[in-house]
Amino acid sequence: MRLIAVENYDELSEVAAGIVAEMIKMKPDSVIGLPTGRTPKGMYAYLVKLHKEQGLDFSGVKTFNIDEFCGVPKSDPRSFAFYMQEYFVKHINLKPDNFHIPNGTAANYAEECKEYEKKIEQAGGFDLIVLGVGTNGHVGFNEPATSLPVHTHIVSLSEETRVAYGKLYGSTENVPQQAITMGIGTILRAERTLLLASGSSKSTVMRKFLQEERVTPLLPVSFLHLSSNLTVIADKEALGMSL
Amino acid sequence: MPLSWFRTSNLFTPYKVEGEWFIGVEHGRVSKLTRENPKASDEVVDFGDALVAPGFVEVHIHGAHGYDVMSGTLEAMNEIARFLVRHGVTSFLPTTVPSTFGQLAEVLSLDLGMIDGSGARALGFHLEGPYVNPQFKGALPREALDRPDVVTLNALLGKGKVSMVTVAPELEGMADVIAMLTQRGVAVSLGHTGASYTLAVEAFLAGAKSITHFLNAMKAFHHRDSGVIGAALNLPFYVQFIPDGIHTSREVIRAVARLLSKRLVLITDAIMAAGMGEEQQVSLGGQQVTVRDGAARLSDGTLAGSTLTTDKGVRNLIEVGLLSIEEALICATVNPADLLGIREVGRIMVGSMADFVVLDRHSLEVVCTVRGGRIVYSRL
Repeated sequence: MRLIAVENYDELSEVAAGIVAEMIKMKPDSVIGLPTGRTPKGMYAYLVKLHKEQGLDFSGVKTFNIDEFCGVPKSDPRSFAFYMQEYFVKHINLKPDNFHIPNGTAANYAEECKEYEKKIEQAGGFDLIVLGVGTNGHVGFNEPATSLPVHTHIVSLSEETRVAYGKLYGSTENVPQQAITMGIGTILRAERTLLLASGSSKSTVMRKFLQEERVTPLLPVSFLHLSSNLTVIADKEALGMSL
Repeated sequence: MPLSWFRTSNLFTPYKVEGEWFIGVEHGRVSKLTRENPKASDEVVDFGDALVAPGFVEVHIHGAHGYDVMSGTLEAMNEIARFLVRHGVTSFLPTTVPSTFGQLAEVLSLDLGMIDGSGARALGFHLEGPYVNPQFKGALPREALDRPDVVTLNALLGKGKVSMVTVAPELEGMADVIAMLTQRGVAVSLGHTGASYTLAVEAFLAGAKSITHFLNAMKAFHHRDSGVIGAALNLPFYVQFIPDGIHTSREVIRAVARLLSKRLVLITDAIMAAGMGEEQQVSLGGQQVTVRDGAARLSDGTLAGSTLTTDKGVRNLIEVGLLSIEEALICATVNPADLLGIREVGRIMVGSMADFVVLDRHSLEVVCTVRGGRIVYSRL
């Protein structure tokens, strides 16, 4: 594992975007897994800036989002599809056909999960996957549990996660009960993994993850210890750099 | 209840924290950090207003005090480890130079756990080469340099604990070696290299974490062909640097400290001549080395490691590099620990090893070193 400790959120965003950009420059047809949430917003802003100011070219890139809420259409501001358009996709030259995200309003969710997994497979797997981590240790929507599915699947969201999103969506009731998420196996097959953690709310989970080199489904992020090439970018607050 | 306490009014974790602190130690680890006085019955070692910081972590050292890591003996390792605690180092990576497979295998098979507890702890070996570029060999023995070979390297890694390997990414087949080392959790550092910027970036994406003795034994920076040095400026590589004023000019120490202190890793690259006086004859990898005014050189004038000590390096980063005490300490503690991915050394926090260096608050000379809660060196 490579740990990059940065001063603050802005530096985290810039460093993360820089690594994604180098990946794309090295391999213009990179397949990249992408997260949503609070943490990666700054990274997307920097990537948009690199596209506009330095011509970073996304025309050959394929992206796959890690998760999406169930029952929320992509026109709904709560959906991750909406988020991705707003913060990233509409500002760059990614081809619409190369942008992938689970369909939260699919008629048959089980079928959608299978299809999504197959699309990733057909694209050749991830050259790079970017991840955030939840305060409870979730990655994607792989919530702490006694066992974790390997592949893309439907998941019931934990109360903690729903409350956290409730703060963004007005109330907990506005947060869907279920989501589609890549499995830990889908995530671990990436050739390179980039984990982002920012803010003091992540310090407990990061301490557990960094200090205890053990794997447990009760802390899904711990499975990233099995990544073949993991880079963690964390700011001082997330690393709890004080007494 | 903690078994022993250390008190200071000048604590750096290595981040400066104000006021008076008591560090409780149990079973060799920090079990408590508190401002409250321990019970009167508890034993307290009082360091007064001396500066207490995490013990230094040194990732690049070939020898000291007349002893060479390549001798492969426990005696040499013990002597080097004891020399190091006198200079505030409590964890280190004994560093090899390229040699025959047989000799490297013999050195690596030394059980580091056998090193006695009165010196610094050896965390694992750092292999400097043999997969480096002969054009940038510096003082490494040319005849021992080799082409990358995953099978041979795997066999070497099987001989003992290896924590870091210095490689030149431009050698054919190196991509596989970097990927294999990264997967095995061994830190890859780029050095003795003429790699282009692009190759260095590719190595970064493959998992390479740091640059070995930044600026020395690598292609010089050109503004249209910036090489590994350019990559180290643009990407978050850890930058290992020898701040002795001999490997670079003093102006460059200042520039590097200013630009890169947040990911600077202080190294000494010391050889057996360290701690042996300013003028002498020693050897490195079977080659004659002459030390004059503290500078170690081969007969052709090539620099051959250093006689720097880590505590002196910290002072140089402050006096010449113009870093604050806190910034300089970070370069010798947290940064090398993070480079290695180890949480339990390089910081003073609950759960970390009770490894401390105690520095005079004015001169920043080492006055005491604590390893695992035990005083292993003291001038008090």
